[in-house]
Amino acid sequence: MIWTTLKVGFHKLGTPQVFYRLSSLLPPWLWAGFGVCAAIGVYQALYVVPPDYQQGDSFRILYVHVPAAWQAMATYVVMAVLAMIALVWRIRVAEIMAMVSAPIGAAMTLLCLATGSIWGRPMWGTWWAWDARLTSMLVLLFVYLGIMALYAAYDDHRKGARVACILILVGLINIPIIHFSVEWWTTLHQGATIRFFGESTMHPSMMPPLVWMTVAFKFLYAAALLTRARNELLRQDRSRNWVKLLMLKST
Amino acid sequence: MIPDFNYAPFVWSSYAIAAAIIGWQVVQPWLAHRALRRELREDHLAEQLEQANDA
Amino acid sequence: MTARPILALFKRDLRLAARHAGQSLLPLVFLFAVLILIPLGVGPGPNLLAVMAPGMVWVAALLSGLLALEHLFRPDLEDGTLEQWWVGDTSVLAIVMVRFVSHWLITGLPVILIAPLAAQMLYLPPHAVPTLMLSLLLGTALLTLFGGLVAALTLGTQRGGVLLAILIFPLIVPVLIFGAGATAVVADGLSAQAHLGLLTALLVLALTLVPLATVSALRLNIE
Repeated sequence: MIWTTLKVGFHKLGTPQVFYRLSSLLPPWLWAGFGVCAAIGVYQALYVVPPDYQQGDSFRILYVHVPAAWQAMATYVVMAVLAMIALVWRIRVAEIMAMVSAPIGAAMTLLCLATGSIWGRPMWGTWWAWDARLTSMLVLLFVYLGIMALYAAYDDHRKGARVACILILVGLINIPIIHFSVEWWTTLHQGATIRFFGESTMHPSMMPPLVWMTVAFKFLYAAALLTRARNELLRQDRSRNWVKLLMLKST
Repeated sequence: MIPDFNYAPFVWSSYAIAAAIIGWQVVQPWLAHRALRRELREDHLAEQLEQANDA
Repeated sequence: MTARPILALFKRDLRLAARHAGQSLLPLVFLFAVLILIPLGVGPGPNLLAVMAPGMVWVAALLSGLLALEHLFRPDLEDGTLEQWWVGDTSVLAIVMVRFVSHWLITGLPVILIAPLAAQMLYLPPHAVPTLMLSLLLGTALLTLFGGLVAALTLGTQRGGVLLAILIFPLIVPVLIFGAGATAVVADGLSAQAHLGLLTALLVLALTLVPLATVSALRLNIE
């Protein structure tokens, strides 16, 4: 009984009208969540946490660099799940959400690379190094751009989205490569200090802003995803009846 | 009350880039939505005009 | 299911390539053009060229391989035969695999055979040439597989072209790193076991997954 309701709910979620309402109601709360978490995170990152004994104050870049890196990879995983749903169930809303995630993921990757490069200058003495972590992150940026380019090259949106979804799944192999690159190769980039299970080697006084900023980026992704998806849905459905009804109701 | 800022310029430029990129993620959907609304409204008005003329 | 349709397709591909031998060998000419540009660009000093040789031969091989990918599926789409692949009892997967094999024979094998000459042009130490050829064997196979997949994905666009190169780039990065790396370490006197092992593993993975993905991509594009 519950299973049927879940299945029906899942498919109802994929209908344009229901998704439009969801993506109109949720984002304000998500933006608010982002704002609050980011404000607390940035305040703690810049004023509360004491300077590092080795790096001085430049380590504070960590609080934008690491959440951006984590979000760049998390976005790809979410995008891959959406791509799987889109290919298996052919739900158009899933296709739209997958396509719309790509520019967000690209922005996160770009932010990670830019802040990492700036941090590299005081920490390692170089703006860039061709080591495994940095190179695989750069490759991730190109994967995102490739997905965006492939989708844009198709006039038929549904076909383009589904072809791009295949590409997304092929590129998924890059994520474990990025994650384990610091373990598999001797790299300039430091190894993992934060573990999900077990002991983290980062000092507890440095953790809180990282947690706040990571949560903030999650809110950011969710809000941006829903607002962009809503726009894309409207753009694709502009001549459909439900949109016309919407226009009638709003005037 | 205001603390003494001697953070390296690296930190500030990183946070500035972060603000720019994140800011764009906030602003772009809103701008696109406004433009879409305007277009849809124009389409809707054009259709109403056509229907009024046909009638 | 008889093997005759598959065999016929295979012979057709090879016969067509032989008939347009000039066109089929153009990528090889491009490979040499790239190889000639390098010493002209960085200077003819043998020491520098020898250090760069593994990577440069590989980059030239990859770039020239990209040229041939356009013709993998597009001609069939344009004259309507691609849709016929789903008619009849031959499995499309088998057709796609045969296409990959014939494409590799036409584009990849010549590169491997020409590798010693390319190595000589850039002063690659002779003891590294067998490794170069072995790594190119694995690499050209992977290029055909990944290239075929990307060609199938971009079939519905106006002209694959540059988009194809951009899309294949992330997939080909590990191939280049391990392939050129294998040759470079052997040139330095070390063992390339790890590099070649990883390349082989990548090839096995690609052989199992890529043809399936290619069939799905083709299926999407014939509608």
